[in-house]
Amino acid sequence: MSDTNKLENMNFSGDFSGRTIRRILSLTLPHWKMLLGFSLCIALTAITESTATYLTKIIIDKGILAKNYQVLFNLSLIHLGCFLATSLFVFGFIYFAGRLGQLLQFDMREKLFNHLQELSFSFFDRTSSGWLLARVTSDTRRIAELASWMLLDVIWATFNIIASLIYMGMINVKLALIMLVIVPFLAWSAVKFKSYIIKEFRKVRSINSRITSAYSENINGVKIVKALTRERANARIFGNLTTEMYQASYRAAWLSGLFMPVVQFITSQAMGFIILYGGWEINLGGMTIGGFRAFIAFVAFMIWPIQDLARVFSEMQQAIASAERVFTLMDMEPEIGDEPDASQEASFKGKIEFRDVDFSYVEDTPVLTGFNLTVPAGQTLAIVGPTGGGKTTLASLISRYYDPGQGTVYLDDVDFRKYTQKALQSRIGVVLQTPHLFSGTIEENIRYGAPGASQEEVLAASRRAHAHEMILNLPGGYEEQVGEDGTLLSVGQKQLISLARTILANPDIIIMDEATSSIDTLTEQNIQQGMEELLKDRTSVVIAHRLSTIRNADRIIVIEDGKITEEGSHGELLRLGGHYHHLYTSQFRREHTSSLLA
Amino acid sequence: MSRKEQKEKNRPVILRLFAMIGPTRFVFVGALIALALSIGAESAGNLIIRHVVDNVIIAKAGLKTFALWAGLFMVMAMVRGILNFLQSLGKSRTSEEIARTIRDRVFDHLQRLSFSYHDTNKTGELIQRSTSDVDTVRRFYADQIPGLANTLFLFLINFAILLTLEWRLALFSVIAIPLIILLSWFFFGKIFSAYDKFQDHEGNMTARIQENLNGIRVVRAFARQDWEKENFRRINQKQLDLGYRLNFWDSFYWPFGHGVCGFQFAATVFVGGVMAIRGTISPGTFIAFSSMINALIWPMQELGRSLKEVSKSYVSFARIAEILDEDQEDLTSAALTRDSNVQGKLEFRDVSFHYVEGVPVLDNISLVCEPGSKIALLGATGSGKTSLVNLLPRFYDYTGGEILLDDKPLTHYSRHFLRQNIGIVEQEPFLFSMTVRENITYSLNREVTQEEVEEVARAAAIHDSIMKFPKGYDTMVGEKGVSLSGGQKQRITIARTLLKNPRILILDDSTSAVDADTEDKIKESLEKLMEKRTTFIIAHRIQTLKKADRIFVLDEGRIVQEGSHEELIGREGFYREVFDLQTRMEQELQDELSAAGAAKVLSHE
Repeated sequence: MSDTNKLENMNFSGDFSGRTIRRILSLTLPHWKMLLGFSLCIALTAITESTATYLTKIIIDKGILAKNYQVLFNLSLIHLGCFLATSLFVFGFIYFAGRLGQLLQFDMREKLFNHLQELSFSFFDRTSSGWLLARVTSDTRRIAELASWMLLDVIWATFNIIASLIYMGMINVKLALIMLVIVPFLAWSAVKFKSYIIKEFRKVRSINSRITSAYSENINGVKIVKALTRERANARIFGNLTTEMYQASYRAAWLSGLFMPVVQFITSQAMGFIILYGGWEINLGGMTIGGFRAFIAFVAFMIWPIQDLARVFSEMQQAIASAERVFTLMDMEPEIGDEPDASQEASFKGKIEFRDVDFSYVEDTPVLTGFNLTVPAGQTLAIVGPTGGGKTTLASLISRYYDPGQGTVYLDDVDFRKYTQKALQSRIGVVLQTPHLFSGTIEENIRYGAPGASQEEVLAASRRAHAHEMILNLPGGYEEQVGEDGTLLSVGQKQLISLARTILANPDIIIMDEATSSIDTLTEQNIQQGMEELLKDRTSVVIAHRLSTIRNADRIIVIEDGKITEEGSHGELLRLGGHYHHLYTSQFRREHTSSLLA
Repeated sequence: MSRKEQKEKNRPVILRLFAMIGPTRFVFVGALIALALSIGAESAGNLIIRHVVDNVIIAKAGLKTFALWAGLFMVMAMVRGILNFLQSLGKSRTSEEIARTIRDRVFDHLQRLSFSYHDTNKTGELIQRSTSDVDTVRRFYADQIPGLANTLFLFLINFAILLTLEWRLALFSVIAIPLIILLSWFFFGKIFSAYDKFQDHEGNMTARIQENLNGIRVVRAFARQDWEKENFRRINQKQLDLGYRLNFWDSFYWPFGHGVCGFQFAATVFVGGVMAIRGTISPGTFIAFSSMINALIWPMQELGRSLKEVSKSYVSFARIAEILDEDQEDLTSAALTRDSNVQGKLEFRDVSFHYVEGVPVLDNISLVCEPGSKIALLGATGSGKTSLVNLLPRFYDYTGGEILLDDKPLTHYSRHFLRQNIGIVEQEPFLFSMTVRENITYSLNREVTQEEVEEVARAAAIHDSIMKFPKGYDTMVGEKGVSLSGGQKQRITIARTLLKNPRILILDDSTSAVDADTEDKIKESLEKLMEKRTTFIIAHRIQTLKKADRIFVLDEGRIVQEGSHEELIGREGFYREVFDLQTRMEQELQDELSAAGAAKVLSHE
């Protein structure tokens, strides 16, 4: 796993590549009716709008100047009809494009979410959840907008410009040809200028995110700021940042303030020329007064899409970069695949055996080499050792969260690859150091591991975990909301609930990473009893910190640098007088002292 | 709080929002004038066209006059461009200046609010206010006021000209405007409320995805992927429905507005046409009329949106004002202006303290601490130890009795002065995302030499670890740099405190958050830190406490025992109980070890 493997560091260009666009198209095709609906409506909107403008020409020439009431009345009705028709089409394009956009987001969110459920652990190790979240939310939105609103803008601009040019041609061919020359030039310079401005606004955004983190840090650390009397220095540093922000935003703002006047100026010069030339033509009889007025209106009409073009292009570019990210993510295969003949069902007596297992997270930095270990069925193995020694790796390998590089793990003497991951993992209960709860009620959380369990079973599991009393003492009992990520509960309470959850799921093998955080005495006792209940008669591998757990284990191994350095029963290891001896005595003092004063 | 501030607080929020403009108000008014002039110039362009049609084209005045008028039209356009540019300069200058002022003020204000304020307010909420609410206020000046002004000026200027051209037609052409305003007000109410619901739910959905990703290991451990998918599908479906609903209102409003505006325009063109045929107005007037009505009617569609957005900025500013109205901690004023050094004598005389009236946290605390001596505090969780030491830097002010520093009441010293002379090593070390060096020198407002930094880092036993970091002392701490272990962090905070060199030191349970191994390593550097300083130690272990000159045992906010270690173990009471328990514990440990046949260990120091 090198850094280029890391999705977050990959570079997504946003170039208009055929493959990405085809793929966006294929997502859109199932909803082709809406795509067709809004394309048609927006094209018709552009046509009816320009027709209404052209009608004013005829109204002036054939109605007013010819002093013909009948023509004026008839044309005014058509004029009105145009506006009403436009209204209908406006409804149509907003309705269809909006719905299509929402539908596409729905589709992609679902696909991505479901896909993420199947990816491997190693993927989540190196990809932050914040990054993934942005893909599921903002990237999918951008892609949906590309296929709806941005496409709509492009169609509108195209039809608008073409219809305007045609009507202009109908008014006066020579002037229309002059416009045909000016338009590409105008469009080109508008895009160039606007892209430059957009770049300036990106700088503003990046300073803005620095401002946000400055706020966040200073609020989180406000007590230290006060204790160390840093207020003045911090305000000064922050002031530099806001000044930088001021300068960047001001620059971006005046540049974009320059944009419209420049576009308007160029157009006005064109219009002045038209007045001059048009007047001449009128004198010669080559143009009518109504045509003259309509022509000026058409020029203004065309400017809108042209000056907007740059924004649309830059947004499209971003959307395509989003699409590249999303598609790369969708194409990620889970690194650990199930063998084709893997069994869907698993059930274990519980013997675990590592045979010559090699493992590394990063190439050339082995964590385990030729590792061997056997845990007989029904035994509890405690793993102790310094941080970074390989304890967690060892525990994770049993559930096949990672695949060993060499060698394999046998469960009941069967290679664990012979089961699907789902079958395997559903029989292995994992209790994590910081238990993760999902927002919802306590009961929902306990039931998480066994959705079909009855009320009685939930209560029974909770009693066995010694969580029942604690839960009943909460205002809402089992119906109490745990909050996002369980934040409304204390760590100890969360641990009790996670124990109940695992007991209810009734796995064959338990992998446990014991918590180190200090917890009040009563909860601590409950947790210990709950754990004993959970570990009873089950094979279990525990990354142990508590004395009681260590002492109650059938066997203890000390792991340092991926190797078993000490191994045996509690007494044997104490006699050895090595690392375990030291660890045990410090932990002994620590626990006894803190239990005394909690 | 000064009277001026009090007056400021009592003013209506909307006025205060306008008052934020401060000295840039002339620039802003200038920008609005430029806006009005540019709209005027545009209308003037229409009048030129009118003149050209009537007096040049129809009158067949010849090409020369024509060129003159075309030239004037171009000049007008240039003037308009310049005015527009000036307008954006002015409004961005104003709005960015205001945003900067608010950001600076909020930032500084937040760090000067009292501990109790920060105890009760959520970080996320405060950040939300200082970022997105500030941006809403910025947009109030950058977009919303100019936007409203634009609609208003377009209407007023064009309408005024129309009135002078032909007042009956002018009146006829604005008949639909009240209807448009009503419609847009009604629909934008619906659209905004649909949008709020959509946004709210999107927040929920995001939280749900985040939770799933954070808990993906649990999902796997219980093989609940299918359930998660099903659950997400429901949330996703609801989001889709809310999106449809929002789109529904949008897709109804715009055609409605368009239809009404279009109807008005077509009707005006017809009536104007009739008038032109009758000769009531000239063809040139008709043409100018139709262009100006266009400019006048269509922006009205957006009026409802602008007004709703203004009301949103009002809410945002009110939320910011709420922060700014909180009283700051007074950091600098003091009855004593002293440059001399603190000796470090501390005396508590019948000190009591409470956070909430009627719930005493400290009750009649009296103790004396000579300069350079060490005081230890022992007591169960919630007995008031931390509250007691928090009074020293005046993080909170005591509510009864008196604390004396060098025989002068603590309240005679400024908070700043006290905090500069008191060093604290907390239970959970907090480092900033700066370089290691910047973290160590964090509390000093002066240049610090590399030798000084290294000296304290060595004393805190962290120098060698720092040298192993990729960029040594210039390595960033936190997300953008190395992640440090709890022990390393704690040693950096010790180095930071050593460099600060305070006369008074508070060690608040400094070793409890690190594991047993690390604790041993930190101990020595803590010893070094305590040398020659008045020190308050909060700890749980007799071994740590017993070297203190005096030990105070706290229970429910009262001092229940005091004395030296030797004195206290000679008396009945909590201290001896703890001591006995710990001795017994050592005994148990020795027994267990000998039972196991292991070598005995020396009593722990």
